[in-house]
Amino acid sequence: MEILIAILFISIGFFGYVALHSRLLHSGVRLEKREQIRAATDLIEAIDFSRGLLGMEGRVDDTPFTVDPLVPNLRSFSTDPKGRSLSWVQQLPEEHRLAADQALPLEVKVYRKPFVNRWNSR
Amino acid sequence: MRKPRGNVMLTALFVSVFLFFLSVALLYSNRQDIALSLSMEHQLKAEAAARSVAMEAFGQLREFGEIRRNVPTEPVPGVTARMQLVRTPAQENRGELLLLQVRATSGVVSSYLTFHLEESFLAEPEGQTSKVMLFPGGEESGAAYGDLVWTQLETSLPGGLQANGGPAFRAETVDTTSADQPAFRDNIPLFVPATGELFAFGPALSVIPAPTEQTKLQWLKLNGEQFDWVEIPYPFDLSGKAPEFEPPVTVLDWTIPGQGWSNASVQGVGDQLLTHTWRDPQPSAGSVEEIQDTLVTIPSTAPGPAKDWSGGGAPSEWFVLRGAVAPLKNDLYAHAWHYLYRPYSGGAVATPTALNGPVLTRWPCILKYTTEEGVWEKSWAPLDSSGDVSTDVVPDPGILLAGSEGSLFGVTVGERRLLTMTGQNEVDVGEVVPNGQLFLYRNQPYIYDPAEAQLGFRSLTDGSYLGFQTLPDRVPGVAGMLADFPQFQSLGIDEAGVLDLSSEGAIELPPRKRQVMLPPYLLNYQVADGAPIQTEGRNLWTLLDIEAVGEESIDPLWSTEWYKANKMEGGQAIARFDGDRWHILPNGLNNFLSRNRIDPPPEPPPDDPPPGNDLNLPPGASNFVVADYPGLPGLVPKYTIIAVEQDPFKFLNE
Repeated sequence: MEILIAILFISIGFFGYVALHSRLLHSGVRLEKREQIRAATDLIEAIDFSRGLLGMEGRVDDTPFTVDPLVPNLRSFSTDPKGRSLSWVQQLPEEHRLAADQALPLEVKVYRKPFVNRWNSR
Repeated sequence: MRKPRGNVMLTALFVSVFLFFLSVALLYSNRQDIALSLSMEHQLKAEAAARSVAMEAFGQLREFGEIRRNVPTEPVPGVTARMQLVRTPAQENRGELLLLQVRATSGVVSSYLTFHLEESFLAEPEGQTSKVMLFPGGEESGAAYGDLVWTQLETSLPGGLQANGGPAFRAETVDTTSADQPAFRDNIPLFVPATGELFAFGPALSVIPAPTEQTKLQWLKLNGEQFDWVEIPYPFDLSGKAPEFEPPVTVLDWTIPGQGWSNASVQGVGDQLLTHTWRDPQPSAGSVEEIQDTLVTIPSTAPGPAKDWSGGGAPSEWFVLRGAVAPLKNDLYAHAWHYLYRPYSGGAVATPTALNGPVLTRWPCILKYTTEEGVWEKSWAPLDSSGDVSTDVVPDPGILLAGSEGSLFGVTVGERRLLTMTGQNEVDVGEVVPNGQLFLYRNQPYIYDPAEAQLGFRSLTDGSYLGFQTLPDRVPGVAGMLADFPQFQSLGIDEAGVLDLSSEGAIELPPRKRQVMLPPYLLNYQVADGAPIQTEGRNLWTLLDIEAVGEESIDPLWSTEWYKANKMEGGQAIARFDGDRWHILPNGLNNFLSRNRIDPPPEPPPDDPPPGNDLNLPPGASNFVVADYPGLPGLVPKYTIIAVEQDPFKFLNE
């Protein structure tokens, strides 16, 4: 009887452990996917932010930045991939292609050529 | 038999407890993973929000010089942001900075971003603020208004402009030998040596030689948005009425031996005409014998191109501009000759001498022209209407300075003693002025000697130098300006830093240090050859040569090859001294040096402005002048990012 009770304890504990572990594995997979989404968001933001810094009028997918009505050199864009062409992603290394279509929607502003200063411009 | 069973139970309990704690450990580590993942996502959002807010605030500062629209407090859904502007006082070789600080918080993660901004003004923002920096360059003339942006002008600006808190003036020496000669109808006395009697004959026309050259003046007037040149009339309109004599008439041509005389007289002696000149206020000769060698025969010819200014027997005076001019706000001071013609009054004299006759006196003076009223007036004139001269001090016509407190400064001819001229005819003779360009700064005389270009400007008051000590003597080896933002060509994906639980319970991310390492360079400054020097109030503008010196790195970390490969070329920059520190215009020293240190993108973006905009110095910068016109836009500072950092900071009111 005592052996049966012991087996029961061990079985319950082991079952709980295995169940928890499988849940954690699942959680890990989800975290990894989230990391990919985050990396894709970071990538899109960095590319378009850099293009804005360099003074380019268009984003990486050739769509224009939104021009601020008060400060014309202030541009804004969203990292939301909905409605945008992601064909440019295929030109990236393979590790950067993942989850670009699931990037988080961030509203980003960038000032055009903030480090370029000249006598004939502000 | 019961002891083994107890062992089995104990083992089972131990395994169960072990699995329990193992599960707790797994759960805890999973929570950490989730927290890390969440914090990284918060970090992503917080950083994006901080960058956006900083960019929006910087954009407004750069465009308008001020924050006109509140920056968003929730730039990204779920992320709060706060911004503050903090001024940091000047420290040693670093001037005052404006810190644009943004903190964005997403969840428990806060991201910090600070732009170190250098502030550049065309002039000190106090007092009169409607300044414009004019760049004379003929058809390529330009102007930088209060916003420090160069634009091309439609009006052509020649060199040699001057201004001092008012409009720009221009002085030009023109040949006037063909101008009408001043002439006076007069009765010339005739002295009879045998009897000592004095008679008069006439009328005769005394013709004074026209000046060989005059100073022609113009001032630059602002009409709406257009600059126009306005001619300044000569001190007194010399186009008097035409001669009214019936020819033939006796014409007496006065002679002027060189430029040195100050008095002249003419009279007849027997059948001869006598002329004599002298510098003393009173005649030195008293007999015909003393001046016999100056006798000339009386000519009798038709009048030449002369204008009759006879004043009905009263003394006549007129002025001829010469030499240097000095502007002060809307007024212009100018060296001039003061002419005074005293006709022969006739009648009996107590003791007739050979020198009784009409007297022409010429003496230096300084005139003032007021652009608002368009009139000339005497500012400093030792010669009075009676012909007396209150001082024999003769200023050098090549130098004239106007102090803001009403004093005029110059130097004596030859010895170059400093002259301080006040009132109508008072003058104070000071110390000998060394060789070099004399100028006033804050009403104190300074001298610039090209041999002391590296030392700066020497005060004649205390001998101290207004040098370049407040400018950095070296370029630091670490420059983190561009690397904090990824460039398209060197794109990198951010990685999260190490988490840290702060004392306030919020997770703060340590700053990511990404800096460009370059060899340090020693800098040398000196006044550029032929640089304009202009002052007004606390402002002093000039042109500096800035270069890196030395052939080998002062830091042994860098090889000579590295040192040379990254050495900036240097060049000329317009600099402004504000009374305490120097400022390199228009975007500061850091930007001036960065121009040489950091390569531009290999291909210009397609929307880049047309060629010609990459101006190190605008055309005509070697002759720039800063003028002041009411109605022009006020001063707007230029803000230049000189550093970006992500270190945490405290808000002032926290």
